[in-house]
Amino acid sequence: MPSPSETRQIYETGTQLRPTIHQEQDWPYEVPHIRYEALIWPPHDVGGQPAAPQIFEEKEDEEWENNAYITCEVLGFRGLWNAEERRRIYANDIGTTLYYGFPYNARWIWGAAKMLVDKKYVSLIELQEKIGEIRKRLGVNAQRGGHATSNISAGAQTNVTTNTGTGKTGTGNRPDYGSKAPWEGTGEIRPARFKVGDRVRVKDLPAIFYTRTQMYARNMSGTIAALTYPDLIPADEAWERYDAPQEQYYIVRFQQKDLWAEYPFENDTLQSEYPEMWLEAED
Amino acid sequence: MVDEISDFEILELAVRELAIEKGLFTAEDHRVFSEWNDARSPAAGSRMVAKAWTDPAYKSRVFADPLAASKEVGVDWAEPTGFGTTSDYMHLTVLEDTPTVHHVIVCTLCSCYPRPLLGHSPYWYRAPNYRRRIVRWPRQVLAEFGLILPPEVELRVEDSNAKSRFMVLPVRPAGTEGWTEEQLAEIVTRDCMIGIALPRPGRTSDGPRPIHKASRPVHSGGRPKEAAQ
Repeated sequence: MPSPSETRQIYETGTQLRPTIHQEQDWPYEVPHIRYEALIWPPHDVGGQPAAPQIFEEKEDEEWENNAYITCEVLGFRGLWNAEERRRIYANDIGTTLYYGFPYNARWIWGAAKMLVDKKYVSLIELQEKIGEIRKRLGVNAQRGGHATSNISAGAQTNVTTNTGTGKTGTGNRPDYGSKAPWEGTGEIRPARFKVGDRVRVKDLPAIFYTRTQMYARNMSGTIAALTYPDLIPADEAWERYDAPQEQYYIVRFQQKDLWAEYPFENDTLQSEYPEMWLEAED
Repeated sequence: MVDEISDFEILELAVRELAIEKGLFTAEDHRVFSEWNDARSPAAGSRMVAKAWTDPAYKSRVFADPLAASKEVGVDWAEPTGFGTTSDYMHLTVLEDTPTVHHVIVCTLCSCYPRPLLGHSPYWYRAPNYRRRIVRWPRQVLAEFGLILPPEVELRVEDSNAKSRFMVLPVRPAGTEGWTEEQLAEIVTRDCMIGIALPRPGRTSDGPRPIHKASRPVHSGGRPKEAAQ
């Protein structure tokens, strides 16, 4: 009789046996418009894509994952990149295969390496030699297989207890980093055009290269629920255009049945946040 | 067999060493952020909710000036740099549940989460499945977590796609009359502040849920002994 973890493996393997037709894509002569839209759809914009239920697992951080996060954050507050730029590089620019093929924090550190090379802080050869040197130092030249063996089906269970300790912010012992964040905009702040309660429609601009405006919200109408802050628009911040004009951001409330034609509950809503240039007054 | 070393561990070491050698940041910077990161946990959020439940004046400050209200429970969003972190910014909105409105948070585009108050997001929160489905089939997803909402309650999904960060302030459950802040904080678990669970007396942890253990967890010293020689 299979154990519970074996049963789970059998279920998951069975799902993988469903027939799939693969159509090879070697530079087609033409791309129909729907497929073009699907191909350029930024890989990170996944909201609303159909997917079967999955088991929601807790996962412990590997030490390298934690270090990747910290290194990327430090590169940010030292002004090497900002978070919007990081998301463009590690989510949008890498394409769908790596977006889904790499672990979560692997994309962060991949993006950091790419950024250092793109901005000429490090040459590609320096990076390659450094990787080689570390492999040699750690004695892993012969074992480049990648991540350690998964124990995903080992059957361990956990209760996540919210620690009720003091949770202090940190030691407070740090260098003086100044008072201004390196990602702060320097351009003019434009006055807000909309107010709470106004009806607005989200513009439908092409999803080319990068976006923080979800596909599901495009061309949809909602109501301004709050004014939040003025800031750079993501399209400027993701390319470090810090002197671009700063715009008011708004929380927009949509009715779910407007966003999804088949949505069955009358009262449910969804809120998200957009800078002014993405919004126009509803006719 | 010697435990394999992740290619990504090597890449992280390469990036960090090159950045330090070239003076882009210092080992001190890495330590400062690491200490701040180690001190994160959902405990601060739990205290914020418990205090808002017992102190109406504090509750109004939670909505009027959430960063100041965070400070009152020991979290300064300006740390660890003086101007906040690279990913979390300094725009917090606390979403108040009522008997007729229930909030749940997500970031469909990446993994935005109020780390200063709640620590690292759970892995499922960052993963594509939750992000794909919670905006379109939210009641089904909540039911998978064990939360079934009556149809007359307005379920409001907050998709955190810009610089605001969100935390849910749940309704104080019946049966907690006369409780102290400490007692109340114990039932305000991480999942209650994401909005996939409701607090109730006796419920002091989330789950049980399957756990994927780390091969080499944080502070384990990283790579196996054989490889370090």
